[in-house]
Amino acid sequence: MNKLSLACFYAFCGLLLAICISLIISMNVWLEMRIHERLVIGVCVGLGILFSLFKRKTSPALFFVLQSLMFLLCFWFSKMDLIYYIIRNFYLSGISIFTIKIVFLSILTFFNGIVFFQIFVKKAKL
Amino acid sequence: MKKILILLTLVALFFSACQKKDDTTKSNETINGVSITNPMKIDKNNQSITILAKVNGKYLTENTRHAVVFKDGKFGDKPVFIALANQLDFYKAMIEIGGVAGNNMTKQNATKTKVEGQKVNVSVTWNGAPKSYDINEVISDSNKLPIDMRFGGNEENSKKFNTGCIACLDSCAVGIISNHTYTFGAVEKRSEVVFHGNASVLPQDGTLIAVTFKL
Repeated sequence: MNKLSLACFYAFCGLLLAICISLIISMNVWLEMRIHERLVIGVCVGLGILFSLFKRKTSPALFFVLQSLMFLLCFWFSKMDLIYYIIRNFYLSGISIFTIKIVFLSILTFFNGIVFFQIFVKKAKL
Repeated sequence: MKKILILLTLVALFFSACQKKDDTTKSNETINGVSITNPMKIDKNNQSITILAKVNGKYLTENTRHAVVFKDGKFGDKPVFIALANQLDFYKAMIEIGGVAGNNMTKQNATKTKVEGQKVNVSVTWNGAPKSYDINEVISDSNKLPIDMRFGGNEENSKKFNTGCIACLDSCAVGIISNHTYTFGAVEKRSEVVFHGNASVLPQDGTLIAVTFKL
């Protein structure tokens, strides 16, 4: 896998981590009022890209752990729609929540497809 | 590689197309005399100021201490209503219509002092709304106590911290207007109250609304 693809993959993992952190922050009003989602997303996506420089292949386990954690937090805290508002606060204020929802879920589905393909289809070929 | 590039291109195109659509649909809208090109209206005879704002759907369910904040302020993403008018222009307008500021709040006394100053009636309306709603109808207080907005002033702190705060839901040393009912820290530190927008009354996220402040 080339470096750009790896950077995209780990940047998306960084986004999932940022959403998890923001969901946890949202449970405390004092923190929520002071920490901006755009900062959390910026740092986590940046770390994801940096992390990709030291990796040679994608990590399906990391992706699935972060994705599962994100959904678990959403269900536990009953904050499903908050994901889209968190993403919108990353300099996307002119875009409707509906659009963000569609785009985010499409990308999530795409990465699930890629990871699923890597794990199961390639193994089956071997 | 090709797949990812195609995906990124599609995402970029999709976002840019949607953004254009959103801007076009809202740019011509005029509500109560305010619009995107003219986000603040001062009515000296009626002693009122109307500003344009957007509903922030996040705080129709989440707790916040910010009612109205200017979009480019530090807390521009934290209120129920994101104002398109600057907080310092708003302060000048309040003085222009004859508002008397309390200026009694400081960082030191904030947790023990309630904001003073002239009473301000805050109401909200939007295109298609059946009436103009009082702030107590559109923002819910978990203790069911009335929101009592006062012209706190705080021009210097507002300039210094540039939070963008126009109206806060507890007494504040930075916000131009704030709620006399609670002292600072009631929402964030002591959890005395939970505030959020009333989803059963307010329109959906992103809807432009007019917020009127009347002495």
